[in-house]
Amino acid sequence: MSERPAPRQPARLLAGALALGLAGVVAWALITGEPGEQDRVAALGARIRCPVCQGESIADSPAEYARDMMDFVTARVADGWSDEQILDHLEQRFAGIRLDPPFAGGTLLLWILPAAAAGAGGALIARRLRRRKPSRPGGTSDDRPLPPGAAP
Amino acid sequence: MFAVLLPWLGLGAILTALGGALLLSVRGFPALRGRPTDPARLAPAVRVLVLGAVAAMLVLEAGLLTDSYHLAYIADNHRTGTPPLYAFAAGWAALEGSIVLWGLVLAGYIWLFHRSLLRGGAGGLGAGALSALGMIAVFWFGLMATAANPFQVCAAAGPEGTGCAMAAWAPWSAADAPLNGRGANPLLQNHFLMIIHPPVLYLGYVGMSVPFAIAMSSLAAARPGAAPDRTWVKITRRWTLGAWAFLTAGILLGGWWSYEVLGWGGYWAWDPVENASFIPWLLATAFLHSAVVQSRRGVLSSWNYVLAIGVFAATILGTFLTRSGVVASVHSFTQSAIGPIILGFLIAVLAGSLALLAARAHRIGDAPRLDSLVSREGAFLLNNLLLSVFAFAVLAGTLFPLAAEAFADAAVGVGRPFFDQWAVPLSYGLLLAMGLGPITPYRTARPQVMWERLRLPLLAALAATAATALLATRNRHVIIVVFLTSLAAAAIVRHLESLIRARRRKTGERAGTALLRLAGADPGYWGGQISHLGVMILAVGIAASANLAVSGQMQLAPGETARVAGYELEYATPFTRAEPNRTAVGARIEVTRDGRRVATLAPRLNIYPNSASPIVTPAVHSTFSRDLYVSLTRLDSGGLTADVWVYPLQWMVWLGGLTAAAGAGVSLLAARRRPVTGDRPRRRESAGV
Repeated sequence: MSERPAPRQPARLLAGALALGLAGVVAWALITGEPGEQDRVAALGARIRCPVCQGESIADSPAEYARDMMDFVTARVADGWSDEQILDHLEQRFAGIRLDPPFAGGTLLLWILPAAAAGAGGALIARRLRRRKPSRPGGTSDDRPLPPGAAP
Repeated sequence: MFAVLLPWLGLGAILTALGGALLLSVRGFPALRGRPTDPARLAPAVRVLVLGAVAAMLVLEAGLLTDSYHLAYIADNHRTGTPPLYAFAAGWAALEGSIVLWGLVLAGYIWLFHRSLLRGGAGGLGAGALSALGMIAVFWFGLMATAANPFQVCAAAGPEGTGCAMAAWAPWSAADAPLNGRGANPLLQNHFLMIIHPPVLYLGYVGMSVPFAIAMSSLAAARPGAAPDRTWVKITRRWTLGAWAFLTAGILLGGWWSYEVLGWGGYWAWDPVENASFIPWLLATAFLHSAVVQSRRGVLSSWNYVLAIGVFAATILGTFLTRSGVVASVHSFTQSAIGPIILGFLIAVLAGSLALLAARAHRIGDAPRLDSLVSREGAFLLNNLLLSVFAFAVLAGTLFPLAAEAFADAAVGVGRPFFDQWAVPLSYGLLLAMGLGPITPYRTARPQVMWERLRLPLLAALAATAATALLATRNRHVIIVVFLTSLAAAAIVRHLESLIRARRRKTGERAGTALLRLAGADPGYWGGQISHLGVMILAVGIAASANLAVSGQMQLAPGETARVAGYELEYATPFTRAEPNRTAVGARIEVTRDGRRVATLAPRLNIYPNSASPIVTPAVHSTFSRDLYVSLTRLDSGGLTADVWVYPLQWMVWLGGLTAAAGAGVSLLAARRRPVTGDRPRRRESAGV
C-alpha cells in the first residue's frame, strides 16, 4: 500500500490555513443557520394526526378536515397558546392524536426501548473489546484475511 | 366453457404446487439432519412446485383478461373495460392474488437456487436449505388452498349483478357469473408504477427466504459436537444481494408512486406498511455488511444467524401488517381473517429458528479477538449497531400503537416526529461510518495512515460544505449531510486514486486499464462503493427535499395567476377527458418563471366508476434544480384550489436509490462469474470459545 509522498512545508501550511478558513465558514453556517424547521404552525401541524386520514399529519393531508384543524391551530397560536396547551386540548378531544408520543408516562417506554437497545449493543461491543488479548503492532493490510492458522 | 374450467384449473394448480412443496420438504429433510443428499433427487419436486405456481398465476391472469366474473376474486377486483395492463396488475391488487404472486416468486427463487445447486454451489448446505424453502412454500400454498383461496367461485352475485356477494370454496358451487366486477381499488390503477412496484418489492421480500433457509440448513445440519458450517454466509451473499437490490428498488418505486399518485406532496410518510418494508431493508443492509466481517475476519458468526432470522421474520411481519388490516394505512387495501394465520406462522418461525440457534449457539465458533475499534471491523460494528437500533426504533414506533391499544386500551399515535427524531441522528452516524469504513484498514488503523487517507478528503469536504453554505443554504441539516457525504465521496475517490497510482507504478498500465483491473479484482467491494455512492446521492436528495421545500396554496378562477416560490401559475382552462376506465377532470396551468414559459401542467382528479371520491393526481414538472408539484384539492366551475410544492433536487432521491440497487446488482453479477468455492479453509473453524 503506497501513500502519497508528504507535501513540502509551505504547501502544508497553506492547506492547513485553507482548512481552518473553510472550517470557520462551516462553523459559522452551523451556528447562524436556520434550524431547519418551518414556522410554529407548520411544525405543530406535523405533530398532529389527521383523525379522518390514514396515518397522515394535518400538515401533510389535503383533506378538508385537516385544513380545518390547521386553521384551528393557526388561530390558537395567534391567541398565544403554547404548543403543549394546543396539543393537550386536542388530545382531550381525540385520544392518540399526537404523532410524537410525549417523553413521559406510558409512552416514555417507547423512547427508552430503542435507547436501551443501543446501550445493550454498545455494551456487547465493549465486552468483546475488553476480552481482547494484547494485540500485535497494527497492520495496514487492507483487505487480506489472516492466513489460515495465523491466529495468535 | 373455458371460464367454467378456471376455478378447477386454479385449484388444481395450487394443489400441485402444494404437493411439490411437500415433496421437496420431505425429500430434502434428511439433509437437514446432516445426511448428504443429492440435489438432483430434488429436481422432480422442484419442477412440480414451479409448474403449479406458474399455472396458478397464469390461470388467474387468464381469468382477469377474459372478464371471468364467476371467480369471486375477479368479480371483486376487476371490471369490464379496464385497460389490459391494469387488468393484468389486478392479479396482485388484493390479498388472494398477491399471495399467488408471492408463491410464484418463491417458486422462482427455489428453481434458481436448485439450479445453482446442480452446478455445485452451496456445497452440502443446499439440499437442506431447499427442504426449508419447501416448508416455507408449504405454508404459502397451504394458505392459498384454504383461507386465502384466489379461485373461490362466486355463489351469489352482488347487487345489480356487480361484484360478488358470497364466495364459495368449492368450484361446483358456482352460480351464474356476475355481469360486471367491482374493479380494483382506484389508487392501484391510477399509475403504471402500481404494475411494477409490487412484483419488484416481492422479489425483494421473498428473496430474503433464501438466506434464512441457508442459515437454518447450516444450523440444523451441524453434526453432533461439531460447529455449524460457516460457509453459509458466503453462499447467502449473492442471494441477499439480489433480494436487497430488489427490495431497495421496490421501496423506492413505492415512494415514487406515492409522490406521483397520492398528491400529498411526499414520498415517505412513515406509514406502518412503509415501515414494514423498511425494517427488513435495514436488517438486510446490516447483514450484507456483517457477513463481510465474518468472511474476512471470522467474527460475528452468531450475530449473522440472528440477522438472517430477523430479516426473514421482518418480511413476514410486513405481510402480517399489510394484510391483516391491524394498522390504519394507505396500504390497507384488503382486510381479512388471514391475519391470525400469518401471525401464527411468524411466531412459529421465530420460536423454531431461535430455539435451533440456541441449541447450537455454544458450538458456533467465533474468533473473540477484536484488535481495535479504530479499524474496518470497528466501522462494520458501528454500522451494524446503528442499523439494528434504527430497525428497532422503527419497529417499536410501528408496533407501539398496536400494543397500547391491545394491552392498555389506550390510543397512542406515533408518526413522523418520532421516527425523524431517531432517523436523522442515526443516519448521520451511518453516513460517517460509510465514509470512514471503506478506507479504514482491517485489524488496526494507525493514526498516521488514517490521517494520510483523510487529509485531502477532509479539505475537499470542508470546501464543498463552505461553498454550499455561502452559495445555497445554511440549513443545518443540509450542511451536515453535505459535509458527511462529500467527505465519504472524496475519501473513496482519494483511496481509489492512490490504489491506481500504486498499481501503475508497478505495472506501467494506463490509468483506465488500471482502474478496470482494480475494480475487476474486487468487484464485491467496488460494487458496494457504487451502492454507497447511491446512498450519498439519496441522502442529499432527502435532506434537500425535506428541509428546503417551499409550499403554498392557491385559489384561482380561470385566467387568474398566482405566484408561488418564484413561479407564476396561470389557470388557463379546465378540461374533461373520458378514458377507458375513468373520467379525468383537470386544469391546464401555464407556468412561467421570470417571464419565461416553463411548462404547462395538467393536475387532475380521476373519477372512477367504483369510487365515490375522485382520486387526486398531481402534476409534476421536474428539472435539474427542482421539482414543481401541483395537486388539485378542488375544481369546479368557479375555479380551483391547489397545493403547490417546490422540492429542490428531488431527482436525487430517485437516482440515489436506483444507484444503490444497481451497485448491489454489479456485485451480484461479478459474484456470479466466480463460483463460490465454499470450503476454503477458515481459521479456527471450531474454536468454540
